[in-house]
Amino acid sequence: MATWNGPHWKVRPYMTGKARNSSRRHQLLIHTLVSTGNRFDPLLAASLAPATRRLYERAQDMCSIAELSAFSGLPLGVTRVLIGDLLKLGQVMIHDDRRMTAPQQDIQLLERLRAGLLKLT
Amino acid sequence: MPGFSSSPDVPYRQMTSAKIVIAGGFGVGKTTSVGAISEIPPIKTESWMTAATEQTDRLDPGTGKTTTTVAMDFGRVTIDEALVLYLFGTPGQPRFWPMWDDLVRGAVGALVLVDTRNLESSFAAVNYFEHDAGIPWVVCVNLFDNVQTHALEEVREALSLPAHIPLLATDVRDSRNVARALLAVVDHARDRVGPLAIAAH
Repeated sequence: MATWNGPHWKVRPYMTGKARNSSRRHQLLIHTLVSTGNRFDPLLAASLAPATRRLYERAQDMCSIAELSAFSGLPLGVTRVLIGDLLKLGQVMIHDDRRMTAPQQDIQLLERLRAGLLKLT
Repeated sequence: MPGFSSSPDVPYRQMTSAKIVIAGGFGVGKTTSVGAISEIPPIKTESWMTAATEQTDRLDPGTGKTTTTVAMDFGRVTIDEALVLYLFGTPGQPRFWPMWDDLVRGAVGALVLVDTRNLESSFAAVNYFEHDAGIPWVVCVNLFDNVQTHALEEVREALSLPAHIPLLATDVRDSRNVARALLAVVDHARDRVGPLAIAAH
């Protein structure tokens, strides 16, 4: 994997995202977990544009959109668009986003959070 | 993503994430609290620009540069084998409010930190969560060096905090204290859902 030395843009971020600023099909929140599942395809990786390729390679380990953005040095908006493209291609998956819409009303989720945090007090 | 997960040859790892936002004025301890409890070093991303560009101010009139980078800290806490909690520290300045909307979307709740020596610096955050955020929130006085300089009721009055908003005080350098403060956010969220929903569950 090529090293990425931070946001040193040769092109403006909006060009990388092909002038789109959000993915319409999927709600990618900053804490949405994504990964390539167990389907990482080196040939596909080689065919991707550099920024997309960096994200695709990073997503071999499940992590959040925010982590993908920070680790790959890509702005959050660009990360969302490019991950949205990979989702459309079926090359990355979202891990359980059913609880994303109203987590503050999800009693089961809140109880699990309570139990976990209690152990840390 | 059902189409992907239902594929028989792909084992689907059931993993859920949740988010709590940590807000407050500059220097109030947001990064410290994230760092105290996060199992990874707080990640500082300075790459968050798109959401705030509409309302940016000119940094340097001479260059015509109209964008700035926005730093945001985040950390993660493993809650159980299938649930991870992300903590996001908000950039403090009100001009980043469009970004706050993005930050709080899908959050369990927010912890608003205040410094009694500089209460005004957290006014914007309190105001935002009181009127615009629509998620449960709790206020926490950061006890620098464990010294409580003001009674909590005085702080509540000074911030014009509604009576139903929990207010606590703790030193956020200690991970257990941060866990307790986050617990207060979760408890407040649970109380808001109400006994009916709990009974139905």
